[in-house]
Amino acid sequence: MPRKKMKQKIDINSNYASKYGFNVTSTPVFKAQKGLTEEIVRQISQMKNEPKWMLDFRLRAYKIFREKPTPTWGGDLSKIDYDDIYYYLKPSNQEEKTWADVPDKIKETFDRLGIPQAEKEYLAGVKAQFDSEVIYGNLREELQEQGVIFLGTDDALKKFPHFFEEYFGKVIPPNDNKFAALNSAVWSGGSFVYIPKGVHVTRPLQAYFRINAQNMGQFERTLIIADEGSYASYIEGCTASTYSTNSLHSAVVEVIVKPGARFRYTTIQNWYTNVYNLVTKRAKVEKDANMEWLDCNLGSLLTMKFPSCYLVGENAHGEVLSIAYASKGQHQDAGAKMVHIAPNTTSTIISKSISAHGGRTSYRGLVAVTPSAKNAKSRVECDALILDHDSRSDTYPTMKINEPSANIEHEATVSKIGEEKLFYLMSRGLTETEAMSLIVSGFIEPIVKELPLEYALELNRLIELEMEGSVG
Amino acid sequence: MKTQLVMLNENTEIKVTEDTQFVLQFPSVAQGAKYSLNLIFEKQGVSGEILCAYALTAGQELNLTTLSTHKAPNTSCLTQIKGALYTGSKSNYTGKIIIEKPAQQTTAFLDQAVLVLGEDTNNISQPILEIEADDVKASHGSTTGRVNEDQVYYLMSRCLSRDESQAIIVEGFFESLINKIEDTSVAAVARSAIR
Repeated sequence: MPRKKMKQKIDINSNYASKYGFNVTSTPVFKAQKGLTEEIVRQISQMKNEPKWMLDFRLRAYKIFREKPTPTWGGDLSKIDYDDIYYYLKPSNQEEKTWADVPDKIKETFDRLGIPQAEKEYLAGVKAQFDSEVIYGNLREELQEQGVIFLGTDDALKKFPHFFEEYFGKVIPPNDNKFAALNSAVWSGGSFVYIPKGVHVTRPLQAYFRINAQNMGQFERTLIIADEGSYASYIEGCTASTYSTNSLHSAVVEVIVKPGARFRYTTIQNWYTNVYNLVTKRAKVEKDANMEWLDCNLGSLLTMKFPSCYLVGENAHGEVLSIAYASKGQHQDAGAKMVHIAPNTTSTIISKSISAHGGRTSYRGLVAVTPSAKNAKSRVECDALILDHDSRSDTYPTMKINEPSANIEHEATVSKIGEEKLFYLMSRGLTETEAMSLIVSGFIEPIVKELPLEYALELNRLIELEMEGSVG
Repeated sequence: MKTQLVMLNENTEIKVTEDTQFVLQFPSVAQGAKYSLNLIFEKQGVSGEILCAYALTAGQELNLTTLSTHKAPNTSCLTQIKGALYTGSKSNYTGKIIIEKPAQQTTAFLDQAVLVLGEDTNNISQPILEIEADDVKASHGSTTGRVNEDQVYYLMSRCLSRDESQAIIVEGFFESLINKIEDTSVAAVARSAIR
């Protein structure tokens, strides 16, 4: 088959500029100066009217951020100019309860992204963050009555300080890595979720993060507590306006899954290809609890993100399912970490990556089994598809097993779309495009089938449309 | 295929010029022992195999890195590493496959298995793929685990003791690798190294 033709086929975000890349001229009510100084950190804390301990936490984190060197592994971080970024930009004065109260320009953005529509149809609650602050939030009444809390993190800090004193910064301390320190110093926005004992929230909670301003840094901070025996799922989506200069997104997400609880965290990351996406996500999984990370990385310039589960209670289970797609100029350095600390803990990592048009995908993962984790089991599966000869794929898994009774499996493959498979499908009357689209859909199917229906359809449709449109 | 016994040092580098199996041996597996092999495929169409079986007992340690670097088209490499860890031993293995852009139609496979037979063992496995060419097949698999209890049970139900059963399973674990060695005298050397 001619290689040239294949090259054009899959380009998931070719219509990004018109679909997500627009920007609105919203006038922020406050914009901090460019660059990061101790003064800016104090200013953010003061504007938010925070307790003293939080300011101290921020200042301590700021110091750590300054001291820690930039990581030299993974993607190229040397081009980030920390002085050319706005660290805090307040788009409106408060979080609104109805879309009608949201300032028009901001509302227009979320309308175009289809958020209010989705909320009406299938979500249990929504948070929308515009640059640095959450501008809209709502939660269905019956859930409020059951004691579910779904608030912007800033708001929650005021209303439920005891949760923060107990859990904030405990799963991911500021000295964990340079970007966790940066987030801890300048965090703003994000979601706080508390699911009370035994409560099952069947519809997903959703947060949508939008970067609208140029040279913006978004540092949302999410804290989730799923109490004993509860169940809930959370979806986050992210997009950004199209600019030629770079933005930085560095979030910290801490999840605590208490005994017997189950939590699923889904990310559809579709930043514009000017965004550095350097995120730390970690869950502490207690006895008989279950944590699932469903991680889809389609956008950004460089993503370095390794959602992890610390399996600290007996019989805890952790799972990461991830899809990465890298196109021209993109590098997706994504993966997962599973740390087995308690006996009979199990984990699964399934990663699928596609690189096209000169993109690069890397899987980087860690499975660690400490001597206290008797009979731990882990299975890792990573598959990569390379769609043309300009693209690249790497696999860097590490397994550290210090307990003899552990059972650990790792498997990885890298290949192009098999000619035999194409030939077979075409001999059944499919066109080449249909055949390729079917194979790619089949390749990512194990993960797509776990996505909420609306997202799964969207992802499948994107792949099919792009393939159809390009071959003609 | 030619068979070649390779006594590794810290920085062994071999260019593959004809189809060859390389059977790895170590001068010592005392604490801190560190070895590496870089197998370079610069000649079109050659195939290589890296075969290594080792058993470590109390106080022994092996730090091993193998690399297959594919620079020319149409080369193939199979890496198979099997290790048994008895009480108090340490193993640290990095197995890397690098396929550079010109090396289209390369097939590379790496298979590493660690059988844990004792207590207080440490094992680190790091299989790595770096693939820049698209028309290739590259994969790796790595497992760490104990002897399968079902297999032990089966053998014990045939009147073997637990120790005898385990010994047979361990032998079978290694034989699948040693059977690949085409030269019988080299196979004998490899077999004696795991006894």
